[in-house]
Amino acid sequence: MSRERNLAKIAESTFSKLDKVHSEIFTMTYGAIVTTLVEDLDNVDEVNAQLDKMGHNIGERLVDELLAKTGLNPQPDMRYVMEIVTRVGFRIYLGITPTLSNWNADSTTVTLSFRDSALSDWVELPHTLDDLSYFQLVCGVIRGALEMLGMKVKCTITADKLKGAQTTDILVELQEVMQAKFYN
Amino acid sequence: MSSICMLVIFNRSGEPIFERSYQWSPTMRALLPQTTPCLNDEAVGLLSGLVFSLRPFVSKISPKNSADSVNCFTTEEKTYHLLETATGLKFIIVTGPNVTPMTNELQQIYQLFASTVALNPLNRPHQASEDAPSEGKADNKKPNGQIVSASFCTALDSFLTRLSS
Amino acid sequence: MEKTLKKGRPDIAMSSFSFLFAEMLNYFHSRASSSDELEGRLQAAGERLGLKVLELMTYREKANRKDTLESFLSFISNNVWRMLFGRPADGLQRIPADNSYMILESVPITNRYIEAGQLNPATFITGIIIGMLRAAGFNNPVETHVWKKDESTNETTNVYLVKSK
Repeated sequence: MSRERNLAKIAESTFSKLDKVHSEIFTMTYGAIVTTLVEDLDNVDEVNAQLDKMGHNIGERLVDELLAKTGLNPQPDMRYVMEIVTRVGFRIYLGITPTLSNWNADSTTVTLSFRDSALSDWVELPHTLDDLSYFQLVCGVIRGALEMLGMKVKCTITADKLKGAQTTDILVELQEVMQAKFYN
Repeated sequence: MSSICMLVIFNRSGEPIFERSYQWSPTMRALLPQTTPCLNDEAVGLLSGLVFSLRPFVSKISPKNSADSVNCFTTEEKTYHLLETATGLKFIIVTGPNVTPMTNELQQIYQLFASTVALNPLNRPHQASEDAPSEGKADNKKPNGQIVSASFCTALDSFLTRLSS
Repeated sequence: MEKTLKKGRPDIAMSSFSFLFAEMLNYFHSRASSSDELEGRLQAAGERLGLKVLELMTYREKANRKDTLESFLSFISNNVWRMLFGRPADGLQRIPADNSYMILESVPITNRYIEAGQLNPATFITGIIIGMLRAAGFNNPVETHVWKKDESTNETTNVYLVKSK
């Protein structure tokens, strides 16, 4: 079986054993968080930074749940890890399977794309929030999760469906594979 | 398997973030947590160093592209069962000798960990102590990733008792 | 202002919500100087959600305006609960003595995996109820309680107490 089909199978089988919710509670809670941050913080850059930080905290913890429940134990290989992120991670946690495209020659950068998601249903950004990066949380989650796998990456939103693009695109760039250092 | 005496968890840098020692109670037919540790601090430190070197060692001696790993090693008195996750967490159960490798059980303990500790924002098991502000003297420093979770302990105790009976 | 409502989106793992909710709690915790303030912010976030929920439900169900408090609470504890939490609330009861109502829920989704100490995370859901009531023109105060199911057991249930004005 191809690696992709195998991961899809693992995703379905893991998902079937998990407690589930309708996506609405998730979408709306995220909306409430973004609205709260916009009111609390002085400018949109701070909101984006806070969303990224929250995402990073979530990613750090979510990756252990994902690995524990699926039994996957990947080496820090960008191609395989990104397949897991899209075919298993996104499938289980956001109900979608983004596509991966534009791999570079040494497989260190890739673009992840999706149209709809449980994060942004029914969301419309008012013009005052043109610079708000609604999906910044997702960037943080990817960054945090991959960091726990020993891969330091940079995530940038290069296209945003909420701002009129066809799809939301996230550019993921591997910067460093980290060697674990003994603490003593 | 009533010879389970301890569960230790190390984080990616080899710092111990969780330790729980046990003793089988024949009267209560349960595995009871003990305050006297099965391995003292020095032994835990040495175990950490040993386990930390195992993954790079195995990857050097294994054929290319194989994903081999040590899942248990034994002395005359004890057996050490090991699971290392892709996130660098090392779960080790210490038992008496002559116990078959507990890889499946360790995977289940990782799942318990995920359902309790990973979901609790107060626990940051991957945070190394050097990253966080240190309080007090260096020799008293405990890693900031120390796991404090009543629900993990409860779930773990029940699970290990069920294994032992 | 035409919004396309995507019905029939696949379900997602409950832990998605739990991770997000825990992080929201973390954020409020870092900015609150007292536990009352933390609770207040959590409730306020729920109120925002409640407003949106009513908009959405009105659009989807083309619901008739619920004229009485009781019929509106019935709508909340059945239809809204089903949409948000996958099943109706455990019950809706009227307390004749002071004309107040209770919506009962044994284990709110907010409390599933969170060990939050003194704070009851279900305050978020109280906020959702308040948000909906206010948007529909009802000014009743709502409180979060944890009460014993009945005198004979120690089992508890969450109670969202909708008081008469």
